[in-house]
Amino acid sequence: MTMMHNLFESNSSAWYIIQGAWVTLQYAGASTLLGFILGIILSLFKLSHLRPLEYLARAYTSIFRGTPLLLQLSFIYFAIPALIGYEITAFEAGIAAFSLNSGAYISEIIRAGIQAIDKGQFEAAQSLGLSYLQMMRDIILPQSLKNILPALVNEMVNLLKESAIISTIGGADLMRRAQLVAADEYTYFGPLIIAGICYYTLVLILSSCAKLVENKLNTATA
Amino acid sequence: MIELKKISKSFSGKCILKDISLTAKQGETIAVIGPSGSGKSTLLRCINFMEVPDAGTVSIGGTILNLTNASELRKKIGMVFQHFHLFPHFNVLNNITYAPTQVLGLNKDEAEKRAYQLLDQVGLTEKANSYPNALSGGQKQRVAIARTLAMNPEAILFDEPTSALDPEMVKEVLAVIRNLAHTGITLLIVTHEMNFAKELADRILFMDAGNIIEDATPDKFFTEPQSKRAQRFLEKVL
Repeated sequence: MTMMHNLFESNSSAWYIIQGAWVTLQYAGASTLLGFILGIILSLFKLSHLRPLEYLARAYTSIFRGTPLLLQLSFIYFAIPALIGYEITAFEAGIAAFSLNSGAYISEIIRAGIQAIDKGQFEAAQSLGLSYLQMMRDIILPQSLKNILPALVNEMVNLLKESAIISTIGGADLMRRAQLVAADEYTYFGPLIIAGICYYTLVLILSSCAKLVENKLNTATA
Repeated sequence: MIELKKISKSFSGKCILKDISLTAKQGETIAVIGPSGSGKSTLLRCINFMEVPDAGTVSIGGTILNLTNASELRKKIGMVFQHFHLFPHFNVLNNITYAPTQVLGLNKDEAEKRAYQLLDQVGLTEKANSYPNALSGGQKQRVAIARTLAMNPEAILFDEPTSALDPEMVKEVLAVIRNLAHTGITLLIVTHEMNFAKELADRILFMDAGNIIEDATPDKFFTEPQSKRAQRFLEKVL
């Protein structure tokens, strides 16, 4: 009862935390988008049969999957600016680290999605004289995307949650705001519950949007 | 029009085609028959570089095919597959108009007008807005033929076009192919439909173990095959 009372009392700080959802969403949205573009390029490199590109993409994926995200973020925010003398904001560093990291994971998802497409689709496209770009853009990738949509949403959900580590370099996301309020009001319970509910709601909204899109795609070709 | 010179192809050490040479004149209808594994499909797929031959040259209208110009020359050579390979995320109309608009640069109206003519030709006008998975096998193959025809090809390669169909659908597909013969398009048809080959083809190629063993008119081939291998084959299938 007292807790509920406290939460009600600190209405403005609850609202402060909730606004962090928008910041978190920006991180996750921008990083998924950029990571997706990077993932497409890397996956095409991996399937290109051009040795240098294949090795480049594989080495990239290996490194970004083989080191902690927190290390990558710190590297971009602290190490690189110190080296080249360029000040980078927490937001830029966050987007850069999350995009580069998710690009590695998404490239593997897309690669598997492309390889799962029937060889006949490639042959039909080639036999009609389509260029590589046309074949990939209009025939192969749209079909793969439909299959890998659940895996992509999963990746975005991960990103949404993982983005909480942006709080370590001072980005004012959900997690950071909850910690600030907690420190200010000497209570962890309320702020963390609010932040938790926000994360969970975002994930639920994201998953149900994906479900809708998936159903729409399925009925379109049924 | 199509000229193959000393084509060889092997897969993981196994020789599939041995020094094959072949000339197909513009407008000719050629049926390729023979036992499974004799190299019929591989021969066909070498003509448009779906398989790149290990040795020998393929020339289309005087131009020798290589990896760089293959995509350009494929615009003139259609291919119809055993398993159709329609684009499942496009409806029937878009399956037919996609390549003409994107590859040949036709505008949408022209392409759709032509697509409806072709759908009429294959008897599927009412399916224009259906998606491939709502069609029967025979209907899919007829759409696939319309998709190929939309590119106005000089030649069409048919790779066992009726082998994946239920028996009652074979006829409708053969009827469509029959109407294409002797219209100026060169047809190369790999088939197991002996009667169809006999009735339609100008030439029969009989293949066995990677070689063209006989190259004759249907009359000659079916009444007096020269080789023992062809005689035995015909005894079994006729």
